[in-house]
Amino acid sequence: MRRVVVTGMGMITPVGRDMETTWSSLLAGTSGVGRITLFDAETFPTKIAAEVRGFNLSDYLTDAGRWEEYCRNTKFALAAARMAVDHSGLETAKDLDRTRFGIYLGSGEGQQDFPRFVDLVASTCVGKGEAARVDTAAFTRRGLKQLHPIREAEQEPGTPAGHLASLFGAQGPNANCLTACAASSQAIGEATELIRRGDADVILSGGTHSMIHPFGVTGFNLLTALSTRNDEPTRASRPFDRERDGFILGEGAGMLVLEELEHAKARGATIHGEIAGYGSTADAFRITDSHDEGRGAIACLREALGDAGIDPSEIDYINAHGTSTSVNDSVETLAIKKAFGESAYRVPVSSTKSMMGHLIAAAGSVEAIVCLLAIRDGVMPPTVNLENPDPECDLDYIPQVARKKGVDIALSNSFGFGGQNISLILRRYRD
Amino acid sequence: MLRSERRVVITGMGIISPIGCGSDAYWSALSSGHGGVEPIRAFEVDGLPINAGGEVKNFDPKAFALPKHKRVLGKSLKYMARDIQLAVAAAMLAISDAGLVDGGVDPTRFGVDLGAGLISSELDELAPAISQASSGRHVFDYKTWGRESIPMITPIWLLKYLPNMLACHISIMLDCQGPSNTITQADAASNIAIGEAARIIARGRADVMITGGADSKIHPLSFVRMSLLGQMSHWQGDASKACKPFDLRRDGWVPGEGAGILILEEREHALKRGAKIHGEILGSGSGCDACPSGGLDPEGSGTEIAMKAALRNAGLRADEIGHVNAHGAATTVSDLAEARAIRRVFGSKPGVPVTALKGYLGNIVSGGGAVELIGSLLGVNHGAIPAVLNCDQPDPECNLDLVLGHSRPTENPTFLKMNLTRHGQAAALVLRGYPGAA
Repeated sequence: MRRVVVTGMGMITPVGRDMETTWSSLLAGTSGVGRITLFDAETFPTKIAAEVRGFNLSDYLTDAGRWEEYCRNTKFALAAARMAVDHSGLETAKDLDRTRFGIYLGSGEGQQDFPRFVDLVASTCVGKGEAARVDTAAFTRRGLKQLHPIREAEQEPGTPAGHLASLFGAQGPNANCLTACAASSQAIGEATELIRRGDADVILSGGTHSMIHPFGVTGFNLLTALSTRNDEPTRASRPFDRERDGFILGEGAGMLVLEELEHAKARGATIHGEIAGYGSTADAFRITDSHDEGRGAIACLREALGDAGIDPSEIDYINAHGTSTSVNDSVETLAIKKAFGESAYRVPVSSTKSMMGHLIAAAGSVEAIVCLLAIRDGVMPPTVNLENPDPECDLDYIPQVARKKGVDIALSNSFGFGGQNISLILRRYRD
Repeated sequence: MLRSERRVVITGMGIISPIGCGSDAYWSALSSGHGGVEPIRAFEVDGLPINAGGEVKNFDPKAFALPKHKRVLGKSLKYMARDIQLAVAAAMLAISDAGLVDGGVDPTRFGVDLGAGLISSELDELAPAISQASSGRHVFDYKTWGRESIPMITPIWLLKYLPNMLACHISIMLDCQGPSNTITQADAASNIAIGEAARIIARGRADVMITGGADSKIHPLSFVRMSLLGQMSHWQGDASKACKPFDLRRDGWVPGEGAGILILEEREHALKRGAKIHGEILGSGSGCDACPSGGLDPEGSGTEIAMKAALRNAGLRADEIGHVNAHGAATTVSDLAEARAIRRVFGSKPGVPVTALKGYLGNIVSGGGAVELIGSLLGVNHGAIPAVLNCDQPDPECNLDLVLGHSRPTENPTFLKMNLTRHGQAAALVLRGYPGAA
């Protein structure tokens, strides 16, 4: 089988506007969580999030002006992808066959143009209170004047994959998947399968998302999924802790250049690791909750291990989905115990969402890169705010401080609403 | 599929479309030239270039529920956006058609891979909350929204509109615990999902996959969006004539809705249980125009790449393909670009017969590939290629061998399905019908 390696990485996260800054923040245990500044959230149940601060696309692209009106997720994608492709040296490669260079993202939808949309709805409403209804004739008539063409078009989740193809001249396979919080991990997994099978030699993969907008916070607050520890933002995301009360929204993008091993070697690329295993399963249980005994997650972990052809005891580090919600952290712990048996208590597990928050569709790609950096540097980032572990969560979660220890093989979990489970196994590259 | 891989056959089809639900009704409309684009009934519109669309009229998802699912579907309907309801109904038809209602598949080797779109919230679900936070002069107040409006919205609101919920509801109802993916790639979504699902079976990870796609653009916001893109048809005459693929007077998209679901199955698995086989997935391929400035390449380079990749994958030469079921968006630029790509791949003399079905359906976007594909599959299994509807004056510049007027008899059940997005993201499938199955 053709082997798939990683030759470039780039990311924009709440704790750093590039990969190395993000990585040193994570190792230092720095939290990116604070009061929401992107809109007035003062009366929302949740008033805090992990925002990307000080981001300017012109720091990454020379023609940033062209993207002025585009959504935040597209801008994050462009910046992270630019850094990943630069990191890979791909554009200096001679004879790159662009029909075998593809894009496979797990990007979220662009954010709804909230101010224009609510003004349009308000101005076309008839009736009062609970009886308020939209006059659709007025809505369509005024919508043509009041809504912004690019802002509307850019909400389609498949657009970033098109933009990246344009930016890099990638004429090969092009796709976007959106499986909630599992999306970008799934994109990496399916992109790996495309390269393994011979449909492409190089695929730019990853994800981008921002749900830190009024409808995003509203939607997750309604599901009571978010932390409301508003007075202690940096202590709010506390995966596996007894007092965890929900997740913290993050935003950003993670991008990886995946490449067939011989293709990478032939052009003398630096290899940062190998995508060794991929598992994808569904809980088939409920749209709101994961299966209470972790059925889908256990099967997913086993499938990834089987795909990589390794025993659980060979895994050196797990980057958990670890959202800091009551259900996820206990079910994920249970699943690791079931799939790993005795090894579960020996493998260090951490959740970097304790610092970056939850990047939703983009989470998995950023966390896969974190695994590759742990392999590179022999150090594992901590789970901050883990002060009093939940008795149900009794694994080694690397509490509070990073830990130095050689890592050859790491596993990253991503679980999404609706029972979507993805596990990726990343391995140090050896011939 | 690659020679070393397991073969993937189609053992079930489910269709919910503007021209009929179920294979028989759908084929009957296609073969008799009855289109489904009509003045829109679901809501009033005003000020738009066109007030017509391909609606699934009088759609009642409960009518499609299998007896064993009636109760759970009844309870879940309020959590399902229309896109989800369309997909679930088509999945019910498909699973019955496949004879898999009462098991027959190991749940852990049974997956879902669908094309789905951006789903807009029903406006009236938000109207009270938005109205509450907007004062008499319609100045929106975030503080009121946070305090008073949020509790006015149904708690499950967000989950009702997530694109992966089409697949999730289906996986819950039919106990599909295997791989699950949702492709959100607009017009190319269904084809990519079907190609991916076939590969998942081919590489041995699943034995049966539910695939295809669903979308509904019958929503006031979708109408506004299509119009803002400048891609919407301005047709003012008889609505049924509005969408005109490859016609000289084509002038843009007409919104549609529907769902097309296929049950894909590993061939030996299907044979062992004596399943009726409708066809086979032979290959898939994808490509992208990747124009530096974005948008479509007028030469259709991405479309050509996708078609060639799918043919190579199927191990077939262009002259072995019986017909092409084209994207045929009915916009000036897209149809011409696609025609050029088809001519480069298949030659012009004699060329390949080409059909396109949006004239009947409107643009179902993320579900369009699957709905249209089923049209060709039913067609070849009946020995005919369905005709293009509303192409009364074929554009000579497109210069294709279009199937016009009436469906054209064919003895070649192999065809290529093509769809592409307005960013030039293109996906092709090569399939073979099993005419004995009709």
